[in-house]
Amino acid sequence: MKRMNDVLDSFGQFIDQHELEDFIARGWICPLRDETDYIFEDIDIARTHLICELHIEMKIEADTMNIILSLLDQLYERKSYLEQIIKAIETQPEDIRNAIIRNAKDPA
Amino acid sequence: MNKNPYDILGVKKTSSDDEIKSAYRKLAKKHHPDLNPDNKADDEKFKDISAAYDFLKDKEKRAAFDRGEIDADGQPQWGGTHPAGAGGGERQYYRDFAQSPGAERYYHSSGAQIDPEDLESIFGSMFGQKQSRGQSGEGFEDVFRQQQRADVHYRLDIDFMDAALGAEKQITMPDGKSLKMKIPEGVKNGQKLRLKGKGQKLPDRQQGDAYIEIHVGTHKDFTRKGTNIYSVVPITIYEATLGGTVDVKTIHGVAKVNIPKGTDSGKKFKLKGKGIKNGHHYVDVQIVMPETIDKDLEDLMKKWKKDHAYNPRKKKEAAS
Repeated sequence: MKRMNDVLDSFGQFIDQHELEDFIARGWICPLRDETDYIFEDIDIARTHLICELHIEMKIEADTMNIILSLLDQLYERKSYLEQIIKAIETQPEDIRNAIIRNAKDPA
Repeated sequence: MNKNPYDILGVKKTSSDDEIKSAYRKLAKKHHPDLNPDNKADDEKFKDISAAYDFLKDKEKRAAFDRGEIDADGQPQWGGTHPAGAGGGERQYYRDFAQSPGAERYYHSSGAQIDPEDLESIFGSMFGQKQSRGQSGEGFEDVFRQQQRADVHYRLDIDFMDAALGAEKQITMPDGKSLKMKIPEGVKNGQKLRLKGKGQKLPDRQQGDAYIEIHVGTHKDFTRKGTNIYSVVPITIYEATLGGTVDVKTIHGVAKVNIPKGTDSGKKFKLKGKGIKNGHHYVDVQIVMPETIDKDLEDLMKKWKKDHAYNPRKKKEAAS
């Protein structure tokens, strides 16, 4: 958990506060907030890293960034649902698990 | 040994800075681990590409390498190692977190609680629920991002008992406004509460919503699993032997629990309906020896042992 200033420090001169606030305003990163400041969790920092590389270093434009991030988010969301379903299937008795796998391979 | 940085980027020694930059961008886009979530092979490749570019864009390092200089260890200047990421330490990519708790706020159904008991809601989210998409003529992505940016996310730390029993909390928004918020009974750690219309207002957009992510604290006596509460109750050796009534703290106050004669450590009692909402409270009994073993107790035990020796380990061995 880091505050805005810690994040800026850790990124060195890579980005300034203005750019970081711009990422937030664009909805590219959504750090949580409390009464005083933003709270950056590891996921927000890793995402900021990705955005810096794509947008600043590789010069991908903002409109394209929206599309890339949106597709990535959709991908991870689907993956996460899929994992939930797999976990649910794993808790089933073996015959039910096998039946599900059979049906998935060869839907009736 | 590492390939030389020119080969990695596919450029020549005579290539200009711009040519190198453009070669790097092209390769980095292709191999960025976050753009290849399921391809671990791209990790190493991306590391090499980044390291090669970091090296070549440094005019001094590039010139030294071109002159064939070696460093203090007798190695060529080009080590091929990737400098620690801007965050320091081993670089972690977004994909390492994209499915961990907290990632939901980046999902499109942001804020929607998926009830694992409700299969339909999982499939609904999975195969796309109908969402309002804004006025026609605008790209969906545009509308989506714009709307998302009007939403704000907050973190609220609440204590264990407030989460268990529900509470009303006064929260202050960054703009200084404070508002009363009802914490529902049994709210879970990580659960998000939506305050409709409490987000930001952007021009031409619907008023955004505020999402409050709840972080539930721990309790010194209780642990919680769903709607059930667990606690440990220490009992004396004579309560364990003779039985008796002990007071057990529950989230709803003190409950009297009957300990039957001969209750052993590890024995669990269920206090029906004493958990959260319709949940139960499970009490784990732990027999505690007196602080000092005096002569009375010693004599008593010696006397008892003479005629009643038993070996609980024997039973254990037989069972395994």
